[in-house]
Amino acid sequence: MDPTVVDQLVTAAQADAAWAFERLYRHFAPGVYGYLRTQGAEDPEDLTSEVFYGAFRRIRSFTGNGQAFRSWLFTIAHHRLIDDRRRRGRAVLTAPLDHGADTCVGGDVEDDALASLGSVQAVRLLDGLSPDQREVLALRVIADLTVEQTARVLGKQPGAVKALQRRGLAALRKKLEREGVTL
Amino acid sequence: MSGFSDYQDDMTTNRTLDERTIEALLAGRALYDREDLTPLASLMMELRAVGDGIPPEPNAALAGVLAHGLPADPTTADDDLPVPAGGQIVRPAKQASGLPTWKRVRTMISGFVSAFAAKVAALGVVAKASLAVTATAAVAAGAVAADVPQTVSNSLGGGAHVPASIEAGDAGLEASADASADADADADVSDIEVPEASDVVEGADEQVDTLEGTIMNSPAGGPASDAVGQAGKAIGDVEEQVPDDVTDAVDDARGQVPDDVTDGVDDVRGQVPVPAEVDGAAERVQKRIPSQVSDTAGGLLP
Repeated sequence: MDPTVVDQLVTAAQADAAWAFERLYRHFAPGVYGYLRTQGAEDPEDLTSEVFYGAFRRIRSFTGNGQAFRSWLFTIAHHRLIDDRRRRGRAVLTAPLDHGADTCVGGDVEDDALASLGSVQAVRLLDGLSPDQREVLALRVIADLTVEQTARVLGKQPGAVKALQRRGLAALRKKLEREGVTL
Repeated sequence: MSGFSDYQDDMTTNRTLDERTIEALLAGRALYDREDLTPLASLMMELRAVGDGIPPEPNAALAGVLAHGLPADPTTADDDLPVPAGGQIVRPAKQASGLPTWKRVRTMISGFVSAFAAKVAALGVVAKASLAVTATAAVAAGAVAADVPQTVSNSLGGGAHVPASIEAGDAGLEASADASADADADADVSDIEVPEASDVVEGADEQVDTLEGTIMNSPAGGPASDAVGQAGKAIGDVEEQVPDDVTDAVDDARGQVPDDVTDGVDDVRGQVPVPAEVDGAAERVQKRIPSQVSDTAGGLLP
């Protein structure tokens, strides 16, 4: 979606336009949902709804453009994720993830299945990283945030984010070489 | 002898990831010169796809917002604490702003004693003598006040003892008043017992600590707390009850000291090397004086 369109949607949502909420949700929800999935949220669907509901309720207090809105949205998602982990009484993901088939686009069944397989494989590989590395890579790739935005979401320094993404990629690279995984 | 590229296949291809390469991988851009990173680039593409697709079904609350906009009063949304209609809301009791009375009074007492000791440490011979008269009168008036509790009265008596001991160690008021213009000659540096003043200041410091410790360890609302509350009132009363004639007499005595004597004393004071422990003790005590108490004490002292 064109960035200026997102800017206009945010402005319209701030004026309580239901159609703007709906379009913002359609545009950003897959990313938020994907981020929450890779971080081992117990019920990523419900958590996604909570993130958007909280964001829309407070949207009048938000200031900034569409890109800032994206960053703000993932900050809320990050906080909701922490709450979710606390609620479950564990700080990090310990159980293997079971993601996939329910999130794929409609259309050709075989293509969908293959695409799902690739995503599941990617998420499984991501599970082998440290929580911080996994979160940084998810925010950089899935949420499409910059280093600075990721640092703000996580409350870290940009240098720390760069170090985490470098170590995370190096670990994934080793894992791919060791396991000979083909995606 | 083998050539440079004879075993090229055995050389590692695990080149490091520089920042440009990392950004290209994360952004999903092609890396033409890094075939060794193809699997990693594919993985990043798959990871990016995790954030694509159709959005999940919204829950009931969000579905309502998407269909009709925000509720009229968003503060009563389901993740806030509901306020029951007509329910009786129990709130904590109203709190007065600032410190509780017993603590304010306690601070005032300890500050007052500290200020007193600090001022004494900084005084000259004549001023100390004048102070002795004032303090004696104040303690006498305090003893008259019927509502001063015994424990507090003892504590204040201990505090008031400080200037009394200074009086013994220094020249008295009479001696100062009788001093003539040759006071410069009579004023001997060795007569001023600075170490003794230092001891007095440190003694006062310890007394303040003891008093503070006693009050700090007493439970709020207990007898000690009540006593402190009464003491605060008593201090105010004592200040008011110092007879005017005593104050006037002190002022008169002060006025009778010739200027040249005062100047001479000041000169001598300037020549006396102040030991470090006196400076340090005075500074420690001075730091603990609240501004209001300091101002009050400044009004009472010469």
